[in-house]
Amino acid sequence: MVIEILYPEVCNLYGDSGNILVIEKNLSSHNIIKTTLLDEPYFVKHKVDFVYLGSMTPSIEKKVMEKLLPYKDIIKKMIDDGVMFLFTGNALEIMGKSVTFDDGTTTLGLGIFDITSKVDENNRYHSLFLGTYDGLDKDIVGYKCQSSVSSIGNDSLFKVTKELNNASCEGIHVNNFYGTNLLGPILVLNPFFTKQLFAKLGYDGKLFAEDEMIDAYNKRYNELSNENIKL
Amino acid sequence: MFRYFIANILGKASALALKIMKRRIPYYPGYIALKICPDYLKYVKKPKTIIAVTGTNGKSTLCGILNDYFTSQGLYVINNKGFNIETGIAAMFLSQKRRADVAIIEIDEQTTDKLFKYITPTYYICTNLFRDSMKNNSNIDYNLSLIKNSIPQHTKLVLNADDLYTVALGEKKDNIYFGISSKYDHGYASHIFSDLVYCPKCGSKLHVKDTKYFHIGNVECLNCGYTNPTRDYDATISLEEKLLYVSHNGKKYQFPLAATSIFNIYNYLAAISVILELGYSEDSISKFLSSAHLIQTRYRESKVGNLPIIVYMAKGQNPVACSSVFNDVTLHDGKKCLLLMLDDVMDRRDSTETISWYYDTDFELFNNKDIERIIISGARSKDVYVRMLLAGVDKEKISVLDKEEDMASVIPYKDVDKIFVLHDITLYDHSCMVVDKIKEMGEKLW
Repeated sequence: MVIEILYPEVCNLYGDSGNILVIEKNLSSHNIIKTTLLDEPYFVKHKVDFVYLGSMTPSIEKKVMEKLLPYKDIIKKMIDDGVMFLFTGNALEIMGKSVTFDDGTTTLGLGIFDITSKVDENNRYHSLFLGTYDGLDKDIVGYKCQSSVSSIGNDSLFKVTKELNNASCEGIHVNNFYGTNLLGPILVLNPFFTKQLFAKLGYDGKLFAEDEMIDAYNKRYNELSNENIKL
Repeated sequence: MFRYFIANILGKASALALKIMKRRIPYYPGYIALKICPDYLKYVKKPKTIIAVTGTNGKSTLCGILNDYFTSQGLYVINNKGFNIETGIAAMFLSQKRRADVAIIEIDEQTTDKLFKYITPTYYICTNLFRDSMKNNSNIDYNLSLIKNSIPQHTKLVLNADDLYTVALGEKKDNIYFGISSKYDHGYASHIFSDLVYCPKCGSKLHVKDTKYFHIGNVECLNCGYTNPTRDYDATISLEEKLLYVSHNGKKYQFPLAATSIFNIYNYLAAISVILELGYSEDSISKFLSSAHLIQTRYRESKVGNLPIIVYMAKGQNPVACSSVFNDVTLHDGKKCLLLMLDDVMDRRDSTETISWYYDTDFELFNNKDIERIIISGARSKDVYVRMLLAGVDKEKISVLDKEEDMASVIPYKDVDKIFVLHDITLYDHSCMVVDKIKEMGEKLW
């Protein structure tokens, strides 16, 4: 199996390096490729089974959009073919039609999903999150810190149980493309979800530090379930 | 103007009331004044010399150094002492008994535009810029633009030449740059992230000539030649001699090294640069530095028996501040026991704290043979535990507790040479309580 982590040297904002740590600790027996911003993505010329992209600053986001735009057809085909993608934080926006930044400029996205995003750093949105994922009997926990608002249509990833803005759904799930604005890092905070995701890649062992992750998950879940929690 | 007079009277009255009630809410008089007169800062009596300090880390420490120096010179100094938004700054001016000689103003990056509408500092220092609290500071691009867009036209910028983000603030002005050109052997380069990987000018990968910490250091773009600016105050560190050599305008100064942590050496260097700019003598600075100490809330030392207890503030939600403290701890000799209290006390009271910053923080530094025991406490202790394991720390070395009160009882006093207490900014009082408990426990053993 080949796992490609896109631009980890710059797409690691808000603790998303934690997702990379979890991938490395559990899937280290596979070929993990780390592609830098100066490299051509490995998936362009090779078969890849799992692609990860994390959160980034707006200036990096513009560069990443420009870098990936020439490969939008390849990415679209990979999604259609069932290749697994996990895009976290604002990485999800890149898959949309466009992102309008704080400086007024608009950059074209890959146009694969029906999303448009607008960055407004002065009015950032923060919330704790509790939600559900179809086929998993354990809830999803996490945080949101967004300086952009994305208009997301159907095909959501999670159903929202609790969030400050009373949204009903979160993220995008198409075939094996998983895109979410949730931070956490999501793979650390949600061992049950992580296990199910990795199982789709053929990993059926115990997660590294699984018991400790579950212990921390249970504590957070109990806190989030409390009706007096300040979101 | 009428509003200003009323604001002054009621602000001062509230300060007096707080004093009588023995309540310590230093910013509150400023809150009252601003509520009555929103442009209160426009009318306040401004000292002849105003030194403003911003940046991600080191603001309070640097302001404390400047405050202590100018006070030692017999000047009347006002300082907002960490209360770095509008209310704290207004309260500082309210506290003036007469027009002060010097104002040392610490400014939160997000307050700069509000303050500089009314105040033009003589010198404006930016210590450094890093990623910071996700909630408060969004990202480094945002902070940079906030500061850059609010710099007053007639202020002199004092910038860290070793931080290219800070350097970007002063591209169009005649600035003063301070920095350290000598190598620093105690730095480390294997951070979990860097905010500066590519050249800000051409996008090529930057060549790092030497790292002081994170992206602070000597760098060069091998493609376009972009590099650190020439340092007006160029320092060389001699840890062996405990001296800091500073070159300026062809003259070489020599000062006692008042701290060994690299981030605090930068704070002292920034202070020295501004003090020399203002025309003060080398002797007066040397005399001051020979007995200088950092502010109590940031660093303190004591003992139980012969066992040193070293207390650091490790500012939560701020990965570079925490990693820098973690690195500093590992540079100490001997077997260590670490007590970690990283929760934000405000957050844990009625919410569940964001922990994503743990994964921007170098817990990998604790994967170290000289660390005998790590005791984690607080609402997020289970999350810190997971982070430690992912960092490769041996689980047998870690104790996880719910309450700070219990930490002292699990310290292996006889097996370690030093005890370190690392606490969040909001847990200063808890750290005092823990140190008291350690002394209580320890005294039974010796």
